[in-house]
Amino acid sequence: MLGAVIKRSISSIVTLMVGVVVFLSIPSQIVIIDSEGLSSVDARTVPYLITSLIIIISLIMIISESVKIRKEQTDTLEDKSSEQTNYVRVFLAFLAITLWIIALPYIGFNIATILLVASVMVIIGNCRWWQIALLSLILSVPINYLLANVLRVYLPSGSIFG
Amino acid sequence: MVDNFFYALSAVFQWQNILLIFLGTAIGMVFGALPGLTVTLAVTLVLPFTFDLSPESGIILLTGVYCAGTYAGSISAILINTPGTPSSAATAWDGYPLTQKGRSFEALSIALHASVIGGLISAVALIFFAPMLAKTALAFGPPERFALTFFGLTIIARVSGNSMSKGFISALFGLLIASVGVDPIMGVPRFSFNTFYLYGGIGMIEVFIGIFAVAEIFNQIGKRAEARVLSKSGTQKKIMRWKDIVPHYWTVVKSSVIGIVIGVIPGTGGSIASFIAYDEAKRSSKEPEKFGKGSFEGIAASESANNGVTAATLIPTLTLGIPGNTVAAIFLGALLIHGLTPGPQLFVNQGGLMYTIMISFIVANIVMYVQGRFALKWFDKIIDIPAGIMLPVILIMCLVGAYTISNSLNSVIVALIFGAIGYAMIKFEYPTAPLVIAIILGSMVEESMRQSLILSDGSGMIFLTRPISLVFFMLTVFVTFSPFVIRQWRKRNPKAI
Amino acid sequence: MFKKSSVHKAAARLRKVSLIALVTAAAAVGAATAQADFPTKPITIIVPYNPGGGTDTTGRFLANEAEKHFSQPVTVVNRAGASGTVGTAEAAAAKPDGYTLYFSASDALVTTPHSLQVPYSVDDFRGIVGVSYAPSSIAVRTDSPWETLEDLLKEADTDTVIDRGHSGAGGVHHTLLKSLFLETGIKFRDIPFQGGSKTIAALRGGHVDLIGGTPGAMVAAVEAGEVRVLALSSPTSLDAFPGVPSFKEKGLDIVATVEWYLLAPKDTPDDVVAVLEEGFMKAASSDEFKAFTVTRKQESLVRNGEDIMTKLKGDSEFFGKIIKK
Repeated sequence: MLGAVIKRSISSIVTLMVGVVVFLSIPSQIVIIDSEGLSSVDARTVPYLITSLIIIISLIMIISESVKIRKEQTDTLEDKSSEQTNYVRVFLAFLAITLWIIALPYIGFNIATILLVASVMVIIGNCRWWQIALLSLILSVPINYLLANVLRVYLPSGSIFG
Repeated sequence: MVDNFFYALSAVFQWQNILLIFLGTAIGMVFGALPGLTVTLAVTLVLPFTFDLSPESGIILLTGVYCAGTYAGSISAILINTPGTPSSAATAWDGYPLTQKGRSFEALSIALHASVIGGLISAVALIFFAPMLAKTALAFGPPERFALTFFGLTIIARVSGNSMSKGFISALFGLLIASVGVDPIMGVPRFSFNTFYLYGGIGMIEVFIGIFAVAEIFNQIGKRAEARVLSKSGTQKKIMRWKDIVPHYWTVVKSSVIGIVIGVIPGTGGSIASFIAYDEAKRSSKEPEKFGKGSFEGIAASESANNGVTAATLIPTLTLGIPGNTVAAIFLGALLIHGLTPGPQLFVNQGGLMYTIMISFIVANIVMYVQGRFALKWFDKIIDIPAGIMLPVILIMCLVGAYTISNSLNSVIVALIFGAIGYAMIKFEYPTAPLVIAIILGSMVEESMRQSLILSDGSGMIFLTRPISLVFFMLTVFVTFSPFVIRQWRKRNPKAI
Repeated sequence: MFKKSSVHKAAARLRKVSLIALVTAAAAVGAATAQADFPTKPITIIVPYNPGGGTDTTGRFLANEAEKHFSQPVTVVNRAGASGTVGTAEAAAAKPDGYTLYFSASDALVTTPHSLQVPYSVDDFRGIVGVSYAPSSIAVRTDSPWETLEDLLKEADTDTVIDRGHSGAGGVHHTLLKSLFLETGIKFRDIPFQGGSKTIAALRGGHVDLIGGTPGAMVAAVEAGEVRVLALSSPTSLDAFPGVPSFKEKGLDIVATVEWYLLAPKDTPDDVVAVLEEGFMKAASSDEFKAFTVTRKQESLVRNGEDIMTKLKGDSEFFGKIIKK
């Protein structure tokens, strides 16, 4: 029963926790300076209002979810999701982008992007090797060149190369 | 006035200037349509080139970029669910579902026609009503601005879809995100978590790139993207015609007017206009249930409103020096560089230049229509590219686009984090529309509320004693509760309809 | 015959001398090549405000002029946020190689660090060129009962509460109002707006009674007969604003100006700064640039790197005292 409630309202539990954490962090995150002639509404008022509402609505959602479960107890809870989601791939893609961000200042835009495009295409699958090679080249050097020369935006060129 | 008008005509219809309009609209269209790149970036990059042009030519070039860029934001909104400008966010709500149904070309066609009509109506309003509207704009002090932005926020309740409480949670997090950064009244940092980067707040465009584009990329990757997700419907029309927009003409006119009115109010900008117009179109529509699932009317409303803003927002920009959005700010900068000072006298002292601006808006919209008709066929082909190729391209465009916002990786990190959050929202079925509205309006609502309360020594009555503010609050109550009342009334009198 | 040791010593001395000579020569060559080699890539100027504003347009105009004096492009990037402090912090932390410079107006560097915790101070920069300055001022609507500064000062003994507007907490204009109201004891409500233009519109629309701001931005409203400037915060009155006294002339010790300047991170080498200073001084002294600052209602005053730093350090100390009061 409790397990089912948690499973159904996992997202509300997350929002509740975020709400509570942010609510508690307000005194340390927002300093109130004694300012002249300002109204009773200060820099903390609105954040307090927002976080309290997040907490209240999250609680309501959790409670209404558990009430629903009690009503439909006999129903099987396993949802009818026909669509298979491959979370491993999503996580790998996320990881690849994170590594791109970390590596960019060191190895520069060109190399980092070739690696990122190649790995994302491998993660997606169903791409031929020449497609991977061609696309990773097109998206790195020419984009870098265009940005620098036409738009005057200079992407990192990599600190390990001086 | 007639002299100025003819002066402006002769200024615009020189072959160099016509060429500049073509060039400008082409640049705007490309930047607006590419995910990650924005019309603001396009205008900023064009700005230095206007230094060496005459004021007229410079303004004409910028006008082309501005109009086409604002319109072209809808192209990426429709095709890949990434609004090129915040103001085409509402276009994505209906445009992308249509693309998924294989009717992208019709959606693009409606967006183009609605944009051009909105832009033209707006330019006419600028010609005839600018000085008069400028006076009304001054009446908007803090309480009035609060009433308007609060009205904008209540739209959240109506775009939340099935779950009202999930919509509210989404909106509240949007408000929380908007409150990060240095407080607008007291100047103290909020939620900076000892990172100085957050003093400036969380950038809106980075968040949009994350929530819309990056999240959609994750979504596609997760769905085993080798299966073709998008295919074109065989029944969709292949030619675009003015006739297609005719059923929506009332929506288009109404939305354009909403765009003009909101555009005139200093410091509010176009995004809120497209939300209000969308909301109004949904309220008065015969088939409101289609909105958010692929309604042509929704696209027409949102696009005509945000292009209705384009010329109108120049009224507070030119007369008060208060730009309604970042593009108008750069427009203002271009005028400043040529030694023109915004102010109430600008229309009197610089009449010729003012009419040049207005006429170039009209010409730019016509040129934009011509270019759009040619370009859309090609843009529409984007969705024929297999996902395995398209996703990496969009991903790199988004990462690079985020980088160009601040020339730093901080923005890229923000985009990635919000990509993950946006993906979680898709998976747990939280609507993203309320979050977007709340981020756009959050700081304006809070700032104007606190300014008003300072003026009133803390009394909330200030919002009800000022006439304009009172009208907006009554409108808020009416729009929020009238659907319930009508539903109840229909239940009791089923025959009365 | 020579003693072995003396030969040795002489050789050692010779070696030492030649080493020194070599080092000096190398240094001289190095300096010369640095002179000749700088810049080898584009120079970026950080403007800590959004594109289109007064500081941004001035910075872009300066960059455009300066390009004529350098072999490389000079580009402006906008890093807005938190009243300019985000961009300033980034500029202070930039690699001190002369390729990242900082163009700004006084607020972010001179006043804000006293009220907001920021990871930089004036001492993190060195000057290249100061291009112009403008005073602050106070203004009212033309239908206001206060015709002159004296009328306003009479309110000190009454219960009148004045709604005063300005362009943001902790800025130059806010500090000016603060010191004026503190000194005279007039009662007030303090309403910050986001930027000078919104403040002026609020005054014209009748939402506030009095504002502090750059008088240059008010010229249009003054010419339209809607706004009256009561006093300037420059040391003396200015030709651009005939008939408007300065606070100092009226016996109030309030002097505050906003400066526009180009700086580099503190550790930028001397020879690089010399190249930059030469090029940007030429750009700032050009007739085109001077004419531009005049249309922006800034008082043109070109200062070299050293002078502008002295001025900024003095200002920082001065504003610090008022803000901490």
